[in-house]
Amino acid sequence: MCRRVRVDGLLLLALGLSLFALGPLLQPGYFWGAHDARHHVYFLFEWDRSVQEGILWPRWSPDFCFGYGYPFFNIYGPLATMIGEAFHLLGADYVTAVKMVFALAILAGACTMYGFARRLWGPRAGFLASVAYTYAPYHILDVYVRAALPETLSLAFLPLVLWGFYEAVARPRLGAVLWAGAAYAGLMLTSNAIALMFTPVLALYLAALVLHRVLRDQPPRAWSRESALPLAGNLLHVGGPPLLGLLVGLGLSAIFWLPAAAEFRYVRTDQWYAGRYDYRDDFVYPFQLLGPYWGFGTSVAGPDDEVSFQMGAVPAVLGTVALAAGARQRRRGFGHALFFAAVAAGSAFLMTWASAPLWEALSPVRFAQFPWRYQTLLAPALSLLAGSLLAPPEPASAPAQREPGLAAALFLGLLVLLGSYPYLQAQVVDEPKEGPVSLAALMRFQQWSDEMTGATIWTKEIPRWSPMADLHVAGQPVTTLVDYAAIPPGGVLGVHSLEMSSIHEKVWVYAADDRQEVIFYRFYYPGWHAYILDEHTEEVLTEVPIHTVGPEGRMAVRVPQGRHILLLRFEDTPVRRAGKALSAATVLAVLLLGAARLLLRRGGAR
Amino acid sequence: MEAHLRMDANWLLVLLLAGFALAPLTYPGFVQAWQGFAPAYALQDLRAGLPLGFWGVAWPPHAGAEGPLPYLLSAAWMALGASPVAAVRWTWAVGLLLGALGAYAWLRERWGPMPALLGAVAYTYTPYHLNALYARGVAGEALALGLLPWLGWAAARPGWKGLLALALGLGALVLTVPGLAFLAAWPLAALVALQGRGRGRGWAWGMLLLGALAGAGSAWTLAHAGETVPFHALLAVREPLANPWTLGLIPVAAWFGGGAAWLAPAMEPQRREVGLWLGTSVLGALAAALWPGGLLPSWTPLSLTAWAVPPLVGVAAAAWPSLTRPEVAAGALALMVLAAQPTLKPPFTRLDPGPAPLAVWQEPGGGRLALLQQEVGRDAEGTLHLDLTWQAWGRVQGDYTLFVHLVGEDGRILAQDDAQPQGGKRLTSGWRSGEIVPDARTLPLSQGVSGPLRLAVGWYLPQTGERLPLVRASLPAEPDHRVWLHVP
Repeated sequence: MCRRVRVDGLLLLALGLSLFALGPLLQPGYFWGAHDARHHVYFLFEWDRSVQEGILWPRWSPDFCFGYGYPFFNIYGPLATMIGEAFHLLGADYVTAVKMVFALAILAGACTMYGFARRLWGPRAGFLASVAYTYAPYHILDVYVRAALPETLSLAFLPLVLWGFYEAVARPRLGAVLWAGAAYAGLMLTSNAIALMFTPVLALYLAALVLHRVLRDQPPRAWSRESALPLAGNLLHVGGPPLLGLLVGLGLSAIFWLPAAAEFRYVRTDQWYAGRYDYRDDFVYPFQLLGPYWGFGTSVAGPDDEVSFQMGAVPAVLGTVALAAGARQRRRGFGHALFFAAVAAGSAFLMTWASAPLWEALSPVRFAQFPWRYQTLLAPALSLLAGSLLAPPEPASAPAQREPGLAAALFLGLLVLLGSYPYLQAQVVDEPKEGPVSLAALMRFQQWSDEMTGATIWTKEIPRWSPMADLHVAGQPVTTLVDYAAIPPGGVLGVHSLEMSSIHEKVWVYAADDRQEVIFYRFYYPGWHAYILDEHTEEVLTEVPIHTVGPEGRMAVRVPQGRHILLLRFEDTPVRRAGKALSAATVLAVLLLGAARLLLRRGGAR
Repeated sequence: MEAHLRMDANWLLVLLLAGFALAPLTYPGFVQAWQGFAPAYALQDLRAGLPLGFWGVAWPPHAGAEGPLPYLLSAAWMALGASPVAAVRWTWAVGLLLGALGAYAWLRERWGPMPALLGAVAYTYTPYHLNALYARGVAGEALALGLLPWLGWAAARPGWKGLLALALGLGALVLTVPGLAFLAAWPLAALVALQGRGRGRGWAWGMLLLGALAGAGSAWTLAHAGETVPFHALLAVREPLANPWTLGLIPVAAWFGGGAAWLAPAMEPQRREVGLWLGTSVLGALAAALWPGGLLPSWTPLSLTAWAVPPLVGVAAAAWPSLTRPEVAAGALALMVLAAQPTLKPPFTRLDPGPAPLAVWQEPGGGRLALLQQEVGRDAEGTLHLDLTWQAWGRVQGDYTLFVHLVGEDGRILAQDDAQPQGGKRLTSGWRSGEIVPDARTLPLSQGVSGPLRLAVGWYLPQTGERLPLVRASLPAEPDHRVWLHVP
């Protein structure tokens, strides 16, 4: 059977209009000065280093914190970096690959927002919501000021998740369930922080959808003792598919979130939540939310931030009028508009000082890290609300009401673009001050910025430099992480590194007694194991415990007397294995269900 | 027509859409507008029982500037616990909201809810309106522009209630910006005369008489020649602080909309009224450009241009109902807010102005240099470090030199520093009115200096050595135009 592909003109137009948003990405150079611009290039650099060693799902980043290493991808959503790696393997350099992911995220966001709003209110609303989303000031800020790659990509997933779960309620079928699950998994793998912030909104949306459907089928006035069982059955029938979708999503992404949730407590979080990251310094003042400020600086304590937190005048006005018009006239899907208005208002509230008691009392609210990050929920909610302005009237409404025309959609779309046009700039430079992408540049960047210096909880004092950094800067390879300076004099301990990779090192060891220990320039984290191997056959004889030494929390291994080979290796913990198994099982189940559905369809067609 | 304010959802919409205009007032500080901290100081003078005249907010004998009402209102906010700058901000907010709601009330009964919404939002975002707050920083006009639409509303009321409302409104305007009340009485009188048909000739003649009196008052205020607003400034697109007189897109669009409505056959019955507002608007702009002000600032007639915006926008929307379709109206409203964006990001300051400036010097042209804060410290080597915070009020024409004298117990000058601000980088003629300008000085002390030391500062013109007159000081002052700083 050959299905004809329909070209959606308004989607093409929305994508065409989003070219202005891509403009700065098409320039040569890169916005190196943007907040996290370097980070994402080096995240990809680190991921690629592991992939080149044959590690397909890296969890340990060996060059963080001057080469002491950090379990970065164990706790940080890797999907954006994985997509960047795909571009890199196809031939793009690190910087170009990161820029391509940004571009892809912008285009994908335009598409998913178009699709969801179109599903709710028709193509014109889809077009307007899509343009409003692409040009939401926070969206632009995320790309060109913050250079927040996973957050930008997660903005593409948010409408997709809502759309998938909406389908799972509105037209429950296997495809919708899998779609919802895959989208949710994509979001979780992209940014766990955004997923955690977004999940309560999703839960409320689903609750509203399910209740609306159930109450429509069985209005409260028709409830009786006899109707309780059918009501419960209907509730299960309507609520089951989205719940299943959520389980599929959690199952698919378990490879990441299960270890992240279990092992997050082993990294130092004071670096991310205290000091200059204290959320109390980052509440947004109303004038910042509504005012036309823009800047390339950072958020500072008080009202004089050098960066913009505006919601965007045009989408805000369109959304406000849409709400009023929807309340006055009977428009299709007004309940959705009301819900997104509530999300927008709630998100705006959580950004301001007025919500400080909630931030203090409710730890889930603090998943956002910074109050202004609730713009991530405000931007899609406001874009959808703005799009609802072009929702067609209910079929049963007064005949005088006409459906908003195409011209209105185009006019409003251009107006949205006009409103954000002055902000479509990036501070592009050809080369960063630390030099071209390399290990040496990474070390220099870490040194002057004090960024990418995450540590584990065994680290009491975060290093400011390291012998590995010295070697990298000198252009020499790091061939061992053994601290030879710690070997006691007198020939009681002999150590010779045989081989090493980003997640292991094998050293030949001679110990005169049982009190000798080998110290490595590596932070400890669960998953690191030390084994004693036979000197000749390299068979594992025993596992020896690792302890930490010094204020840096470096790994040290006490070796038994004699000649051995000591193997230090980063492995999967039980929870990581469980996560992998759960994801694999979910993938298998999804594939089997998909195949079964295909077979059933074919059988039915015959 | 029934005379009461009918409630509908658009009232809320008017308030919500005014949010962008109000947003800068939520900054926890003050704007660095032309008037600087003068409104906050005038407010504190009022509370202290001092006359307002020093700040140019003179109530009798001058009729051209500001009356006491905005300051009395601000004093009420202070009585409720607001700081002086917050009280001024709240009064500005009241002015903005009054204007938006007044315009809606006025137009709603005349042209219906959607034209009224468009007119009210257009009025809120008219550049002259916003610039009164965020570029010029005037308390009087900010409140007066809130009162004007209510005068339009009152003029449309029949019977004694309307008369009473109009009298109260005019009275409030007289107590806010007396000169503007004289000017506003003209179109009001004409409006009542136009609408007074069937209500009795006495009412109309009474209003015409009021108009004639107002005209005489206007002529009197304009008789004192001053500078006009440059004609090109009305149309120029520049930074609001550099040109707060620009008409902007909204009034010009209102002219086109109102003009088209005037020509539209469907609006034939309203043609005189539309003509009145078109004429008021255009004449207001021309008056600002052509008639030299005096006691009345030359730009005050631009208030009339702003005042005419709501009826012109409203009549245009009423003439073409397709403009009131939600998606079209939303676009128009978004355009209005968008057009006003440059005026909605004024420079702020978090400086605490204190109850009064420490000292104010004034040049013959009227420009003033106000010392707002001073800090004196001494380091281990005995060097004195002096941090002074200045604000210019009005345009300062000369490039003055600041002298700092360290005076010993016996009155001898032990050390001194004479220099233009910031080592000559910020000449006083380049200070924008209202701008906060910090200036740091150091005075090395020679060894052996002991006993109580005193620091005196003042300004002089380097070409002549003539000192700038000191016109007000809360620090100890000398007749030779020096003030003594606090030295710890």
